[in-house]
Amino acid sequence: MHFNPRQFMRNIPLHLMILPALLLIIIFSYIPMAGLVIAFQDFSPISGFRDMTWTGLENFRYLFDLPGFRQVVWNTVIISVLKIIAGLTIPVIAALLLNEVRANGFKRSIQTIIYMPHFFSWVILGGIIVDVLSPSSGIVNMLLKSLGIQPIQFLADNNWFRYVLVITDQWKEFGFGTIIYLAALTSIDQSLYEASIIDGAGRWKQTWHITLPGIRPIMILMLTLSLGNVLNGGFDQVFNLYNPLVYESGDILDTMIYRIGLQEAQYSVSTALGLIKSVVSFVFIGLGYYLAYRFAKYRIF
Amino acid sequence: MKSKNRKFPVMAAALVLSIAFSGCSNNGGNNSTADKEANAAPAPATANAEVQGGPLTKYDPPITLTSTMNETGKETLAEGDTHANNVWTRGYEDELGIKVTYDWIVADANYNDKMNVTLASGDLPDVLKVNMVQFEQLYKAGMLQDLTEVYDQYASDLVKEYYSEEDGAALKPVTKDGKKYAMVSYGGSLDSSDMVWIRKDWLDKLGLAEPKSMQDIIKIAEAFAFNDPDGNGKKDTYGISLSKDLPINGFLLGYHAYLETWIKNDQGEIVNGTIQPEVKEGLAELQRLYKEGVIDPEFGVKDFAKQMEDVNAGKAGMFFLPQWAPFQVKDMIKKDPTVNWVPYPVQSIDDQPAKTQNHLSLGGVFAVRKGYEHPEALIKLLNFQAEKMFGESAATERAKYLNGDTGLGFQNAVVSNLPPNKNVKAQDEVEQALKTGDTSKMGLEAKLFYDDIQAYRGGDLDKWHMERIFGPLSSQGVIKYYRDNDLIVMNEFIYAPTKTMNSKSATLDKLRSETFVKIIYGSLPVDDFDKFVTNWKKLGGDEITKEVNEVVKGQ
Repeated sequence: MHFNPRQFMRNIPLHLMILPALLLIIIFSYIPMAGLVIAFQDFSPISGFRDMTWTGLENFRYLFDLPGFRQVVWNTVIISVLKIIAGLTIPVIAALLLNEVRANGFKRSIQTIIYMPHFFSWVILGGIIVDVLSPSSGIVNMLLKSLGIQPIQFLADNNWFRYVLVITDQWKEFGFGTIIYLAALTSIDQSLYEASIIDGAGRWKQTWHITLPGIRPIMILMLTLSLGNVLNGGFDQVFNLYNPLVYESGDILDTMIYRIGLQEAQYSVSTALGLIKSVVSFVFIGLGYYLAYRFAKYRIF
Repeated sequence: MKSKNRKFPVMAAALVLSIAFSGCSNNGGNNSTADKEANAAPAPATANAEVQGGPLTKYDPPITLTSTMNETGKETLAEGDTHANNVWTRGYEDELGIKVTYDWIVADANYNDKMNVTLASGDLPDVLKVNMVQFEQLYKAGMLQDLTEVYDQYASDLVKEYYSEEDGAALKPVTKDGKKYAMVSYGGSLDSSDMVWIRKDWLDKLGLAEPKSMQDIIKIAEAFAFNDPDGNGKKDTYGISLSKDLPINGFLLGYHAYLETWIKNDQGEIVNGTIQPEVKEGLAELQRLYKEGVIDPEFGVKDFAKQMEDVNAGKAGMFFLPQWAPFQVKDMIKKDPTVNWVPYPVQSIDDQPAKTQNHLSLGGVFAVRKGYEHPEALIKLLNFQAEKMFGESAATERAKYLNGDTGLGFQNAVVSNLPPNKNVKAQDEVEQALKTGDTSKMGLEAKLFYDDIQAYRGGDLDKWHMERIFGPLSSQGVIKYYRDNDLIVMNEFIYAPTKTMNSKSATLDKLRSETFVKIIYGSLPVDDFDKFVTNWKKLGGDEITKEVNEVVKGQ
């Protein structure tokens, strides 16, 4: 950790190589941060930054005073927490199951099939899901009907809507997570399994004592990173699936700010919300980092 | 610091010099034109060097004018032409002496964003093609040229005629304290009329008469849901097709309810139609129809595209859309020529006639940057476009400027304004021609429509929509009926959104759509409408109403 002049000199070419990347980050990521000042101004794009009137926390007050703002924050948090939990369990289970499959061709094709929806946009999936979940002609409700259950308006029912969001989100994305965990599984030392078999461990014991601990760092990494998304409910998805009937359970920060922004380009308010989201995300990632280190002795960076 | 101080006077001197030079060259230019004019005709001896003759007088030497452009598609351009160099730009330069160049040309979808960036950069083009919100920002920042004088002086009779239609509504939104700060592209308000579209083939099959009242409309909708109009023995049709955006204007107008429209009440105050008791009556009826199963039971989750999918699948017999609806169902006719969508005027529930509600919408706002030496050039460009398309030279040159048969070439004019409500006028000509067979008096555009309709009647199903938009039994025919019988309620508020509208309308819109859809679904009682009105007023509606009254009365 000590500064070593000789080593530094030796590494100068390496430091120079990183310079372009650093410059790009400064120019495109750090300098624009100065633009955050418009969150505290009454910004009009024509007069620019300088002639602006400072409004202090007016934009934040406006946001918090919006009727239903609390409900929207609550919706956002609950939807994203459900998504984080599902995103941490389903891909792991899928990866474990796929890992047990011996036939390589079968494994590969399953992997490809579950990965495929990741490439569809929510605009297309929105239309498909409306059809699939339709109470009169959708396949899900036809199944329910054959079991003697009354059709459910999944997309128009506040009791169901959040779960529909979580399930369809996982259906689209769990293939992607599965690939990451499968990659992590290959890095586990095979000799550990051999040793455990000699010690008499069955499949369950192997999974519990070798496989899961083996991929724990990746799980923690994924969890910590996803904590930064607590205030992101998934704009594309919600926007394409929600409707006035489920505003009370499905309207999230991003869709609300979209509607406000769309009305008349309220840059300052949008920036204020973006700032709030960034700060909260930062706090959560920091917290995740600390907890990961404290309890799992794992440093992400 | 020292060196900086020393530099300053030098720079200042350079600045002064450059201003002096530019002043010289300006005067030079104007003088020489003035000389020419003096030779041609005794020009009024005026000190104002800007006076440059009539509506289409050529600048000599030519002037330059910068603006911006959206891509219009290659079908609008003649072979070898580009957006930057085409029949229009050459025409401007050859005939008007205006060299038009574009600072940038971007795809239509990106135009607005790019313009926002340009406005923020402060490096403005001479002619600003903006939207209403941007216009308002520019005006407030004091960056626009007052065009009142140059308009009065230079605008051709044709241009003035277009702008004077509908009581001069077109230029009202861009007029501040009696001064015109921009020109506009204004298509007239008639095309925004609401109407009721009904499957006439289903009407005939069920032996029903055409609707004469709101009661008839409701009866027809019920029959479409319960009497198996498609004859397949299954109950798989519904009467009214809706989407989650609630296109229910055509229904509510039957109750004299004017959704999202600012109307004058008996006391002369301007009020928002959305919160009037008539809306409640209409909603109550919609709730009843939904419960009966007359309205699509799943409309609350469907967007417009999904709604149209159902309509095209033959599931619905009625919907409420403006005059362009035939484009949405034309593929249906190609598959089954017996399908017959017909538009009807909105119908009334009582003895008062039902009226449509119309809105003013501007296709674009054209302003001039403050400090540009030739503000009148904008007017001349508009004069030029009107002349080439509708004036005396149109007979020989119109086809060239419209890129022949496509008729789309006008989109490449740097600024353009078409005659307002030209569609209903064309329908008039088409109907006459179809009756008499005499096409000699038709305008060029109407003739194209007429040919399309003849093609449809000759068996070309691809052209069916033209018959239903411009034929004798068509949406423009319905509009003509509204116009001739004075059945139009015009939105009183035709100006840029007010301050509170900007900050509160998103909230109010959410409140409205949530409440209305839930009332129709039956998950809220109709009486919750009263609660909605109270909330609407409290959450900014009252403030907006006050602002709207101030703006309208201040004009």
